[in-house]
Amino acid sequence: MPPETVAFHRSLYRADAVEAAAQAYSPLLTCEIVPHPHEIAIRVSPREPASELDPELVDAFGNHVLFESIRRERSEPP
Amino acid sequence: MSDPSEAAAPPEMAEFTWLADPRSIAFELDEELYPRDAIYGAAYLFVDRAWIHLTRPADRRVGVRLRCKEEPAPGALDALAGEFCNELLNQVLRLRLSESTRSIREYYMARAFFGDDTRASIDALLAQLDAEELADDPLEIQVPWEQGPGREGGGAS
Repeated sequence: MPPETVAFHRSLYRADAVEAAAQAYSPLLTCEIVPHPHEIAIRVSPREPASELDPELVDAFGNHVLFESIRRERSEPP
Repeated sequence: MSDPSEAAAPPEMAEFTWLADPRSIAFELDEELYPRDAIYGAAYLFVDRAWIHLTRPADRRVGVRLRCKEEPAPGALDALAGEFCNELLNQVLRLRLSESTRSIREYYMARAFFGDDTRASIDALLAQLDAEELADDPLEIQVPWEQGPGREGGGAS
């Protein structure tokens, strides 16, 4: 299965949250940032080249980015 | 002169466009009606129930895609989206209440931390305690229990 690209819009997701999620999922996924002006596009592929990319894992990665974005946004003073 | 119907045009209503596939549903929200913080609040409460992805289909519009973690039962997907929308309304209300009461909360916090009324009342209580007559002790509360009734050297017979 080819790598999948997930796009996180910069106005909704934080770059540091994407980095934190990529770090957390590094044992399972290889994440590569694809340059894009408005979005943080991440090309994800399984850590083991021979294995198939689990769509649930990509969804879980997306939820983690969202969770981290919200948590970090709320922890900052208004 | 401008067209009065144009001037009185209400803000665009939120459009819930159900783009259902077997496991996911998507809809768009107007950020004028549903602020980003409210969308975050609802999404935060649903991250354990669904896979959520937010998109920006246009300026001031947020796309929400909910994907069930398990194979949904008939109608479960619509119910999930409905619950999300209800929570969204709840979050909007909470946000508005929070904003409308911000000044009074800040006032009370400032008064609690920086006002000296509390200190004065504590000083007054301490002064009142100091001034109290403590000589009378009919219940012998001030007698240590080792010297109490029935003990060696006890005051009572």
